[in-house]
Amino acid sequence: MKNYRHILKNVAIGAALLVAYFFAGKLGLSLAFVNESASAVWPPTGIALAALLILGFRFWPAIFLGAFLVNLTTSGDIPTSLGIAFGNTAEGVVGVYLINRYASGREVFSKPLNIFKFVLFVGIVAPAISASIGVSVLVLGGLAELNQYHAIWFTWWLGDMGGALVVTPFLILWVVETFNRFKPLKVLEAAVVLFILLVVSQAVFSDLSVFGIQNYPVAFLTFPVILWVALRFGRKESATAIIVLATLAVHGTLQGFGPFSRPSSNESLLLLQAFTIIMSIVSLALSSAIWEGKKLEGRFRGLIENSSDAITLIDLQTNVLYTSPSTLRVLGFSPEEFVGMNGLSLVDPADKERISHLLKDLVSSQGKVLDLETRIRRKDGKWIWVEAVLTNLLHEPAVGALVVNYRDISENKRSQGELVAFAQRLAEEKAKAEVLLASIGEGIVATDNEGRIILVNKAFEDLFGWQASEVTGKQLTQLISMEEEVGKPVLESDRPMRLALASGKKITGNFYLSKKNKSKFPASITATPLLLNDKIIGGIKVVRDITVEKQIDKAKTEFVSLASHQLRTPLTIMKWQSSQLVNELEEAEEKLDFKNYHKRAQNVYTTNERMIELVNAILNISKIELGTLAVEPVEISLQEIVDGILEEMEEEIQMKKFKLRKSYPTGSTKSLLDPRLVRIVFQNLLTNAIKYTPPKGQISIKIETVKDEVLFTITDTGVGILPEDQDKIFNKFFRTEAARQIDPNGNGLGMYVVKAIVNEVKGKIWFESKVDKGTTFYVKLPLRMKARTGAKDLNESFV
Amino acid sequence: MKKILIVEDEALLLEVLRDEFTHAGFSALLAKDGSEGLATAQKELPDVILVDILMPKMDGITMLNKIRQNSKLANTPAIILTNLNDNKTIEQALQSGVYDFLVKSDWNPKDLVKRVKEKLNLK
Repeated sequence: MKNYRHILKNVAIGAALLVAYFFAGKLGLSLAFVNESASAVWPPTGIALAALLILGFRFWPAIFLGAFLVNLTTSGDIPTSLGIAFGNTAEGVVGVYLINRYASGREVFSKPLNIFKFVLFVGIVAPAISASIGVSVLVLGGLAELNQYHAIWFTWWLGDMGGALVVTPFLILWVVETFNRFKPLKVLEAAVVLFILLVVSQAVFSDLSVFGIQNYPVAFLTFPVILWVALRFGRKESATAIIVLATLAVHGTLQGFGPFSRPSSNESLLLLQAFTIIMSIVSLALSSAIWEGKKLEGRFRGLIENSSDAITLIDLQTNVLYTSPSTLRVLGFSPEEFVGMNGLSLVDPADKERISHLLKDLVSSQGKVLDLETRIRRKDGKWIWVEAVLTNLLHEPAVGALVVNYRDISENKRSQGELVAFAQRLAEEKAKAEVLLASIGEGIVATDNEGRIILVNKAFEDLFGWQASEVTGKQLTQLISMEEEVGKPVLESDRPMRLALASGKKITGNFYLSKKNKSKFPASITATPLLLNDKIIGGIKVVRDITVEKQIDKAKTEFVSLASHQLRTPLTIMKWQSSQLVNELEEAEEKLDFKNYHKRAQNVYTTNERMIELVNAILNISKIELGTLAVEPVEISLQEIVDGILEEMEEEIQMKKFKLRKSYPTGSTKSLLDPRLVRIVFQNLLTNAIKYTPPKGQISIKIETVKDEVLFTITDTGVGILPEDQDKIFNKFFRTEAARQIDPNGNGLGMYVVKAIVNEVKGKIWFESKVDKGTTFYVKLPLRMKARTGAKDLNESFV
Repeated sequence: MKKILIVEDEALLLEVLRDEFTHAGFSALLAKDGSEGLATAQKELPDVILVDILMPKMDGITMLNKIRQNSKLANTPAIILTNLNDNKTIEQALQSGVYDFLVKSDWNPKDLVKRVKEKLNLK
């Protein structure tokens, strides 16, 4: 439907075009004198060009048909009519093609240069095509003599040229150019100029005046009128004036009036045509040049007047020559007020000297540009900051001034100040946050909502071995592998950070993580999503290395397991011995047999003692390991403590017939020691020496003071310690084979506790030993122990 | 007469076990650690082995694993008698093919002998 209407519309336009062409052609041929088909006035060329240019090439059939009908109805000869129609159509198509291709198409009249192209393409080239084809067809069809070829061709060519250069601009400009309503004064002027045009044309080309009647050569009289229209009005008004002039001129000339009237009508018309064409070209070129200039000026005016910056032109003395309307907004002066003032008079007096100096520099070199900021006083007395760009265009003839482009930046200045303060506050906050982050012992990593690392803290770098710069922007999950247990990787989607980002909830868990060097460590992880306005914008992961905790955990489990086994052994002995005792007593009631009772009772007693020692030792160890051991130094000498212990062991020393050697420093050296702790250390060492040295052996004890420390040495001639056991003797529950054989009841905790106490009081213990030769233990203690509060109730017996 | 090998490092316990099993009609072979127990087993080919786990020189489970390599001892019933009762130890013991796993402190000597006899289908 739409398509149908479209076609109908085009057919209607085509028909209208055909009719217009036909009648214009009839009018033209009515002025054909040299041949009935060749006229010096041929408006259809202009119609054809304008139609094809505005409506498009697809309307060529209307032109063709129109031309065919005009000629057919004139000559009655079909073949020649077809040939001429072809020539006329070709003229239009070629001319329009060239205009479209090389001269801006419909906008052909917007530049003077295009006017000359227009003259060349449709005024010279296209009519030559039509004339050549048309005249050749006439000659071939026998409608013209060959010897007339040149004369007919010239008439044809000039006629078409006139049509093209006079009619085409008129039609195109009235279509293309927007219609501007004239102001009343302009309407009056238009009426006046039209009247003058009519009067002058008639005066020159009709019998209204003596000029026309006498054929005086005063065609130039029309010139000022055409100029007037071109200069004061637009392009379409100029084209209209030319049409009016041409119509009146043709009419008058054919009646034998005016400067171009000759005996031959055709000759008259050709002369007139030449005049009209020249007038048209001049008028077109001039009006389009003016139109272009106005357009450009309008653009630049718009640019300047709508610019947020103000633009002022000043001369060498800084007097204002021109200023843009925005001056009012920036400075409070209207352009009218500001022009003529001295620009420098507004500048802050304190800054005047500097500005003058800069200006001098600016003026000295052509084209130089200068940026500056200064304070200026507005008309209302308010001081504002302006940023100005000054350009030296003194040498440019069109400007001849210094161009000052400036704007109010007071607001920027103020907000800049605020911005600086804000940035400073931000930097302080950032510094605080960074110190906070750096000081946290746990590794912290922040990611965006897709798990890409934004920042990590110092602890993270230390923990994983990555530098912040290496990991920023990387995917956290790709950087660090995660395993539930060693060898059991966690799925990407199950990783705490992924879960936290997906669910918006805090996720915690223990996992094994990989470091940069691929080693793995156990870690406790807390992944927390970062929410902003209920939207997850990223996440924070806190990583705590739990290697030590895991080790402690493992050690504790092992200790409990070992200790419970150790405790059960003496309990079992007591149970079994007493069970046997009960059974045997039952039997004895019948048999009166007493042989094992004393032995069993003794075993129960001894094992119970062993049990008590073991429980004490285990309790002591737990206190030491918890780090809650108290140190309470009092003024006492080491030899006092050692002598006290030796006294208690007097009996055993006597029994095994030991030789005891003591070497103490001369005079009493008073020191600050915790007697309880020191006692436990030396009781164990002395007990061991006595226990593991065969009878008649020797035990030497030496105490000496070295600087602020006391060195205790105890040497025995005992069984010694195997080289492979030497690094284990301080281990919990460790017992050498020899020790087991000599004392099956020992618990393997004595040396462990000794070493722990010595460490607690900042002392040192070491030893030398040879199997079957003996062992020497060295203990170095500070002469002045430092007090520490904590658990006091260490139990004394170990062994 | 059934030969029982008793391996126990705690002398007072070993002594009670010896008395009880002898009294119950066993011929008791004694060893005070794993390596001694292994040597005695190879030499004497006992009918049943009663063994502690934590012992000096060689622990009980290692001893049993070594004994199993001797074809003559491969099917000798073995009973663990220990004070270790964590799952890991029990699992290890069962892997070395023991008949029974007994925790010392849960038993008195008389019931212990009875239990061993039951396990061996003896009266």
